[in-house]
Amino acid sequence: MIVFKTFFKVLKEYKVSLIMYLSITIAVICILSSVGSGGNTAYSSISQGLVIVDNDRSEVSKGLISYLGNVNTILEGDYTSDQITDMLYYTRISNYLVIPEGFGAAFLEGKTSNLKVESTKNAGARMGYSVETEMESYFRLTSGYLKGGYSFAEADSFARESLANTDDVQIVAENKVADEKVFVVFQYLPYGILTLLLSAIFPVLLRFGSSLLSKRTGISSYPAYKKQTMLTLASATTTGIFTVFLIIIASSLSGEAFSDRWWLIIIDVLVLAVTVAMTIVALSNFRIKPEAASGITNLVSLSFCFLGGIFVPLEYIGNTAKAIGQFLPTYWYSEAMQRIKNGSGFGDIVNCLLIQLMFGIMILVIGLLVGKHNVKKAE
Amino acid sequence: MFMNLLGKQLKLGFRDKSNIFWTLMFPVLLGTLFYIAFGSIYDTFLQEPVKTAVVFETDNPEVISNTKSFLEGLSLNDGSTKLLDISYLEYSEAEALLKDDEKVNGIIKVADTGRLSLDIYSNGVRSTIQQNVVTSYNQSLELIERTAKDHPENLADVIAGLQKDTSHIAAKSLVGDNKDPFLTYFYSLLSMTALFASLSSLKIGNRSQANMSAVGARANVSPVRRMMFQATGFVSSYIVQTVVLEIALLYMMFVLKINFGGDKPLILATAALASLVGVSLGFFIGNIGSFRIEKKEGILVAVTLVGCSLSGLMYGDMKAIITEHCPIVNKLNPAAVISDAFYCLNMFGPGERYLQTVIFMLGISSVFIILGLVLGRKVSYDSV
Repeated sequence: MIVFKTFFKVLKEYKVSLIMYLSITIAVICILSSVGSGGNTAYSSISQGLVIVDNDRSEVSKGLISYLGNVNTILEGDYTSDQITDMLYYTRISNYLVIPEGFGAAFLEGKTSNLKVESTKNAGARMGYSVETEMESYFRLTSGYLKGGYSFAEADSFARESLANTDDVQIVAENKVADEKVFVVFQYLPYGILTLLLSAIFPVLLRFGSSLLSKRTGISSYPAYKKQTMLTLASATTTGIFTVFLIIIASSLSGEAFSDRWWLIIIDVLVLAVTVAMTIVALSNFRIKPEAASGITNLVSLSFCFLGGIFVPLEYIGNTAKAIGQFLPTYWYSEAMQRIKNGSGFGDIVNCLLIQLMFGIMILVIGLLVGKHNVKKAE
Repeated sequence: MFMNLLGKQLKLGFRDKSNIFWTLMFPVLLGTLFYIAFGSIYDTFLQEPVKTAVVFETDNPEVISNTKSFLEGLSLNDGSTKLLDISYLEYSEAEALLKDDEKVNGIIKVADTGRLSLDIYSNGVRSTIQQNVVTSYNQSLELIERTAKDHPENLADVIAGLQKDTSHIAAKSLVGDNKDPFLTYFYSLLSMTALFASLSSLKIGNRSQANMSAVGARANVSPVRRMMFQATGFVSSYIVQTVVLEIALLYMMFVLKINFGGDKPLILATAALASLVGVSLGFFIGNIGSFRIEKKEGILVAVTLVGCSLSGLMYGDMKAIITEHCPIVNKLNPAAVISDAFYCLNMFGPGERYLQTVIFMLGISSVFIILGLVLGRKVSYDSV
């Protein structure tokens, strides 16, 4: 029991880094869960942020702004050009629109070749094109109705009515997700699991494995197998405590617990936690200096999270990164989450869970072999 | 004396392989990883048309021909980039591909009446683009039908107007060199590397205090003034860390070919300034109190990681979100200011805003250095 107790005594020394990683995880999850949590029970177009400067103030410009406001978010206020650039770069808005004076009159006369709405966008973000398409649709329809003999009020009304109609679009996913908050919250949880377990278990195991301490405990009357058992038990207890703690926090933030999909997510989280614990035990056999633990924690957690689609969705990362990511447990965690989100059951995610465990077992075996080799070499 | 001490401190700095390894490997490994993950997303996203399956639920050749001509003619405003990547399929085939989002992003169904409808798997930017296409086409049909019913005499004008390709928008592109939003991750990585330089200068305080290390005890009984010892330690730490950071930056710029935008010498100079912020931060923390160096390291790692996570290391848009809700955090967070300096060079060039970040970095570094020197000087020990 002395080893078990000592494990936690040493662990206490790392409370600063534990509190720090926990705070970062909770802060990131809180901010992200408050940013995006839309469901997909019915189709809705992606609302873009827009800043519009109306120098015309005609019925045409007002009609356009009113239409754009129905499907997008128009930000009010006076912004500097730097602020506009920031918002466009960080995709907080998709377009900065300037309607020139006299545009309405020119539009009604059909002479807009020299007087156009200025649209500034980030050329690399498709949302900007999407808004421009919406605008062109509005102009084309309104102009069409005007040519058809309708008044501008009628034309504007018909155009807006038909543009707002999304009956022709339907979502065909088998299980439509009503609220995605639980997925947003649990998607970021692996960062917490990785950093907390790495900064808790890893340095402690490294210190127990340090050359001087190993020699001292080696000549003591305490059996080696008992020491290993106690260290395993202490690591498992730490893993359990931290994982349960993170699950409670994540469930509280998402406002969902004990539903069918929640259980599936929990299984995914537990499997990842076990895999991470096995990876840490394996790494601790590589004769790494305890001082390097902090660097390894950051490197491993950030790489696993970026390549595994934790920070950036898998659909966005490049093919090479995906190919590498498939060798990491976080990738299969994300994949299982995606399947749960699409309504899959346990049978559909079981292979993702098994691959995660296989990764852990494989790394653990390699680690133990290296450890055995090191012991023999030392003898 | 100064040069003699500096030479020895530099030797110490360059021999601290563990520190150099971590400060260099961090940006090299993570930079490579970011490059693999995000390197081509921006270009691909710009050029890649939305994958769309088209299913004809009609045999009417006129409807089929009109729809094909409309869908295949769609392009972005630049005129050369196709909007949709179309595959003509049976519904069962298309549905199978739709479930695998990689292969098809939506199914456009063409009815006997000529109307289009769209099946998607989930909401998203690509779905919105496809919806715009479908709605736009159906609206034109509605316009023709309504005009034919109410004002048949104007139908020819309406059809002619629809066929005429008139644009009412003058598209302008965002200013700046490289508008790739994923570049934020590289900026944050550079901030992290610069701030991790503090782990090197942290040891200066430890090495110059007699009650904190054996080197400190020896240094204190020698005739060297403590301030001179600290100053040379600081300068050597700054030189070592700046060299390491510049190597990492050059690796990203010339091996990974990351386009940071802006003037290259200025980017390198900004990195040197960022390194000064990191080294002075470590110098300051290292001179606070006489608690263990491991605890001080913990504080530095905490400051660095929290700062970098708020500047967008884990989630690229984080800095923008914080600017919206609590802008003062970004103004005071050294990681966010360093990241902003690189961003300013890229988007605005070396103007007023860049100058503000430079002044902040110089100011905060001066404050840290002065505080470090003051705290380091005042320490006295019990005497017999």
